Amino acid sequence: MFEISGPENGIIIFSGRLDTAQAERARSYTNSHTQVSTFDFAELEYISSAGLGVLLVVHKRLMRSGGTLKLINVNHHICDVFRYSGFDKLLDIVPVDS
Amino acid sequence: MDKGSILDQEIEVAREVQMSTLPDFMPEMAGYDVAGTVWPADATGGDTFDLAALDDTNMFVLLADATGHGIGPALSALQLQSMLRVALRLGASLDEGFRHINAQMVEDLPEGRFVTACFGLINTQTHVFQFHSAGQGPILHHHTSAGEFEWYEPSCFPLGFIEHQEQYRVRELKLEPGDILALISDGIYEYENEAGELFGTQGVSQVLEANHHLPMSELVAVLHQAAVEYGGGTPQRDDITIVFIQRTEQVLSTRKAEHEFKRSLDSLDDIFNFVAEFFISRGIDSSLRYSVDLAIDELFTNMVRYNADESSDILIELVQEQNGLSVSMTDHENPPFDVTKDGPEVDINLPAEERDTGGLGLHLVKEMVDSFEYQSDGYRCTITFTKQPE
Repeated sequence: MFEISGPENGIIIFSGRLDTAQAERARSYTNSHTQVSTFDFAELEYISSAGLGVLLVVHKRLMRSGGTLKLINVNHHICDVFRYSGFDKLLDIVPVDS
Repeated sequence: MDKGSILDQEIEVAREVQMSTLPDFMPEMAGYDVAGTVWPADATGGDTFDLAALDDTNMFVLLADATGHGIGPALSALQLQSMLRVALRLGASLDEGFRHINAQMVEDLPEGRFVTACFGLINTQTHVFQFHSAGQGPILHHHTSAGEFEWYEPSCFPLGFIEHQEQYRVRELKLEPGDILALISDGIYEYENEAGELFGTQGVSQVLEANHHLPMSELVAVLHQAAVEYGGGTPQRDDITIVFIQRTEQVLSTRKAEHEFKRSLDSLDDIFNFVAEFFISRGIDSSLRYSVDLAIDELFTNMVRYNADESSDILIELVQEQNGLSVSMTDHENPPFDVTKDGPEVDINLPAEERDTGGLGLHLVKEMVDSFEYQSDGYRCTITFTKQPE
């Protein structure tokens, strides 16, 4: 079950499991809110490489106007995925514990 | 404090002790779904049951009903349960255990008190239930595929009634896939409606006929509810205990599960559920779930995308290994493509402008699993990976 909602206070909220079958939905949702630069992952349990692809597109778009994609409340499994993929060096990632 | 409230307190303690001897959780035996519940008529009742895994293959099953209600019968039922568990754990045979425990209860129980009980062992390899039913009956073996109901009457006197003059031999029945063994106390069979008619074996068989596909924990609740509704407002007169044991259909081997999935991204939900169920039923460390889900997600997605012409299903096989598992995914393919070697190199240190997501999925799989192998005969390929706790 994957849900995406917002923006609330300028933040888009992701929840559930962003697997490959759900990536297209995340892509079109984020494409229709191009000004948003922060995503809340507190309720997001899972992401696969297809989800990373969506984040990369958003980040590249924000970079063109001097911005960076920020992810907050990221669980440690998803932090591992960012580390293995090198995305921890690209995006501004705030783990859930900090 | 007056005498009445002291007595209430004492009864409350007795109830706590009795309830604490009921199983806290149902034993997990591969290939079996079991459930049991007691609804006492008084604060304490004469009914009890037990379900316990004695070892990997033997499950102890007991339903007992001591005459009367209240503390006296509750203590008798408790005594029987304790003695049986210890006897069987110490390796006594059912016949021996039965004879000695009966003799002990004849000695201990006051005149006019006795305990009816069905107890036995289910071997989860041979699926044979060996049991005695001392004054307890009927015991139901529901052959679900044939829709037949086989009722076993008691094979001898209740426990504590009289010393055995002969050796009673165990009875045996064999559970086929889907079959249900039902141990139900007379509180259900003798539930009366307003006209004084009994719920009976007919009421029980109707409920099972219509609901045997439910998980056993739900079936227990459904049967209880059906009896209460049949009673139509008449109060529960006797303790009610229901124990259901179903030999499930799916599991053929304890360590292995396999399933074919349609070549579509829509299958991912079913696949994740299949994996989740495997983890729970085998007690595999849930911290491995993420890596296993991700690896399957990436590999399955590749098979769907790059082999779109194929209409055949994709086979996924899970095998428990030590504290972790191995996963094999088999697909038809042409030409061979070794995912462990042939994928694009991923440089994770590139700046964002130069990054794309080509090959990223396979890169993550290699990072997150322990071993990763590919085998192909040129027509069918199997990708196998393993994951163990650190």
